[in-house]
Amino acid sequence: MEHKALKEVRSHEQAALEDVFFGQSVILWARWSVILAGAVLVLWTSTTVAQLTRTFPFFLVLMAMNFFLHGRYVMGRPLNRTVVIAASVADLVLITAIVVFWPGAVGLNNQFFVLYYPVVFAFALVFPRAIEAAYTVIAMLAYATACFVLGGTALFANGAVDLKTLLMRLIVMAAMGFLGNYYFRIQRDRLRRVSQGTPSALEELKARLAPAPAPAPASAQRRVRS
Amino acid sequence: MATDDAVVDREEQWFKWTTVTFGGDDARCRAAARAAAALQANGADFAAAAAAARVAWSDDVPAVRPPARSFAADAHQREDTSPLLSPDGRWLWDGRRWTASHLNSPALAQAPVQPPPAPSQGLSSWVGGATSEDLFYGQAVIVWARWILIATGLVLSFWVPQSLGLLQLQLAAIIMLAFGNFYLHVQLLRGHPAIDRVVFAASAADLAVVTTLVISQGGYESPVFVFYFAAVLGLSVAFPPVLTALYTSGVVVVYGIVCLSTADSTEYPAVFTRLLMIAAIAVCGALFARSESNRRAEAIRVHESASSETNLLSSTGDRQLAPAGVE
Repeated sequence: MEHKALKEVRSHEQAALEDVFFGQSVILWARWSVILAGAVLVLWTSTTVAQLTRTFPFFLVLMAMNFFLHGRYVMGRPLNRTVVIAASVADLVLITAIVVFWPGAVGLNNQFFVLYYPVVFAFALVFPRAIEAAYTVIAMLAYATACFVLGGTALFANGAVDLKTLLMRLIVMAAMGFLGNYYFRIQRDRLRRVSQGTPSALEELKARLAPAPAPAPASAQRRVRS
Repeated sequence: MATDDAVVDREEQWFKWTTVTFGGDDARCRAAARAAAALQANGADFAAAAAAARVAWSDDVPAVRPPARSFAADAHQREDTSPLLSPDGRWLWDGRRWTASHLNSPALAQAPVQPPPAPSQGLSSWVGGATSEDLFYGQAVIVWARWILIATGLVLSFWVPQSLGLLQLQLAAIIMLAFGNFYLHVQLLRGHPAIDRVVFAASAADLAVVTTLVISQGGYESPVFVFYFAAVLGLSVAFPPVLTALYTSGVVVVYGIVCLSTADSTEYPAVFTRLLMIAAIAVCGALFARSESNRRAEAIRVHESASSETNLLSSTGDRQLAPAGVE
């Protein structure tokens, strides 16, 4: 009989594709939250018809895009990683546009920078470290650039209090990417171990740190079978 | 005799597996293979046997491997020539090698292996003293999120402090968090993750500290609210969905009340956005954790069906079949 060798069923490429497939739902829901927030904000804060008709189409386009992506996902035909990355970059562009062009408050004074957080977090849960790091850095650069260009030297006034605020926001943005991808890698390791049938990291740790059995008395060691 | 052959065959299979998996010298691999084969003959599944092999190979802890040869040598010097039982009652020395005790005597069969405790789900985690596996892995994220909070808070609190009283409050809160986090981190590194309710309480403390700082800095105007995001991220991937929902709802309600009572009505859209994004982080984290849990369950099912298929083939006469996971 021919010997069969059992090893992890999936190749590295398959595993990466699966990550994109399963993780895509997180990105989709993060985008829905941004769309919901944006749509409500536009409807809530618009003061003129012209303002509403000028801003709302952006969210309609994003909504249509997410309907398409979500529909493909539900049908079991999700798009490849290039399209997912492109859509995520489009999210960053839109959020940065909100920060830059929102009427009334722009740059650091714009309070809608929080829209970056779920988008960066969701992306970090799907892609490997290098891609995630690049995406997080792009998001940070986009926001920092918007704040510096629109804020100018005012950021450094008053003992640079505004700079402190900006730094705080950027650190949390980086933390979203780092922590999300850290958890992603933990989950990859758990899945790999399960797929290979090897003990989990926790089991290994416990086995390694388990105390050695105490030496038993000689009488106990010489128990005889009945 | 047939049983002896099966044990030897199994040991040879494990020897190949340990050589491929761990490498190193033959003696260590042989010891690991012996431990794994004996444990598997004792009724253990592949995962437990592989763990025993790993421990025996690393030669750090002799907890789950057969007793060392020195114990056997001592046994030979005794006058009594009856079979010798290991201290844990699971191994018999027949003069040549260790065998699992219950193979030869039903009277010495080991007690049925208890299934591992189910991972904590929902509110019952609060009352038990258990440590669930999902929380162990998620706890690492929480601990790092808290270190980020502590480091950032520490540096920024010295940057243009608003008042002495506020600085004292900030530093006291940060130092308390640092001590608590140091304890939790050390527990993790030592392989003794804190019991669930301690982790739950620590996360509640995180949220309380952030809320205190937000209130002390004027509520809505405070830039410190961004730390809610890091805290909620950590708990959303670690906690059961019910608790994640509970904690997130608590944050949204408390921070919402704080903002509504301190912000101008023109700022309400911004308040709404902040609250919605906090909830979105929690939803994304919980969604991903659940998705990964399903994937692992499916992988276990696939692995077990593949293993059982392998065992079936093995029992039909192919004794050279490698253990699952071995090329």
